Amino acid sequence: MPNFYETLLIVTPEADDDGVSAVIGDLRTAIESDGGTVLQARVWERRKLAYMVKGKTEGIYVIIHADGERTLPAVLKERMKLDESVIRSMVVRLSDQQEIDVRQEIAERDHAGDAAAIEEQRVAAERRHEAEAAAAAMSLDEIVAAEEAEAETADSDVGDDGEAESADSDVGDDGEAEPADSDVGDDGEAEPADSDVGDDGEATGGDNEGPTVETSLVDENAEDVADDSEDSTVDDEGKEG
Amino acid sequence: MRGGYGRGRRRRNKYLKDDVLYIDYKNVDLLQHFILDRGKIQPRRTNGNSAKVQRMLSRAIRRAREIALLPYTTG
Repeated sequence: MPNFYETLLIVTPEADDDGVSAVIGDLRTAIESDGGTVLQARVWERRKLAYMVKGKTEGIYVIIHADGERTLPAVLKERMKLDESVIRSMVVRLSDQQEIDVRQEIAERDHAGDAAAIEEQRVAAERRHEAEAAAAAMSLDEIVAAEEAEAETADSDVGDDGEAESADSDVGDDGEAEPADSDVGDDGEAEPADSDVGDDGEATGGDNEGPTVETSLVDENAEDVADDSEDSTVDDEGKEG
Repeated sequence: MRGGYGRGRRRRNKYLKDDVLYIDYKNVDLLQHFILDRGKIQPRRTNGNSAKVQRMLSRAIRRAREIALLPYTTG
């Protein structure tokens, strides 16, 4: 059972239309020779980059949607790495719901006005996910039973899907989709913002404990410290009392 | 404290419902609402996102950063 991959890549802004189609054509060939199917491959938009990439501040974003086996992301990444005109790229596997939406969007574009074809695409996508879910729910015994049943009756479609799923679990793919391990720490980034918030009280409380200890030991410093931390001395008196 | 959103009351998110199914990393206009001036991901306590939504959101932002749609840092 193939997976659905979305590839977003940035082509150097100097490339002309021919250059861009050459890149797309190249990747199309790569996908097909890996046994995948291209659903769409098009220029998304030309836009400013959020940061400089290979000295460029602008880039042509190209988006490719394709069905492919688990080997596909590696194949694509490798190919794009070798292509000098590709300055950045990313291959991700989309969530089930997003995949359905994308498929529908593509169907709508391809068959504008052809309602039946659109519906067909949507149903196909949903059925695929149902089959996937069913396969996941199937216990080992049931799979064995299903295989036996399949051997008897040459009722291919349903059984085939089930088998493929059980082997084709999603495990490894997430890793591929997320080369940005470096980002892991990002969640932590949000934290420094603490200072703005309610923590002020606690923070100052912490500071004050130090100075007041000093005051009791070193009289010379007492005045300075007391100026800095008026509130604290009050608090501490309370504690002592 | 912060316009009456101190302890107890939860700030509701005006851009994302709790039942969104996914957040597209290419939807820069949406993601932009959830990053701070410096480019950092806005903490959950400020935007009131559910844990699930915040996970999807931070993943989308991290993907967008990777492909230069959003900055890692600013200024």
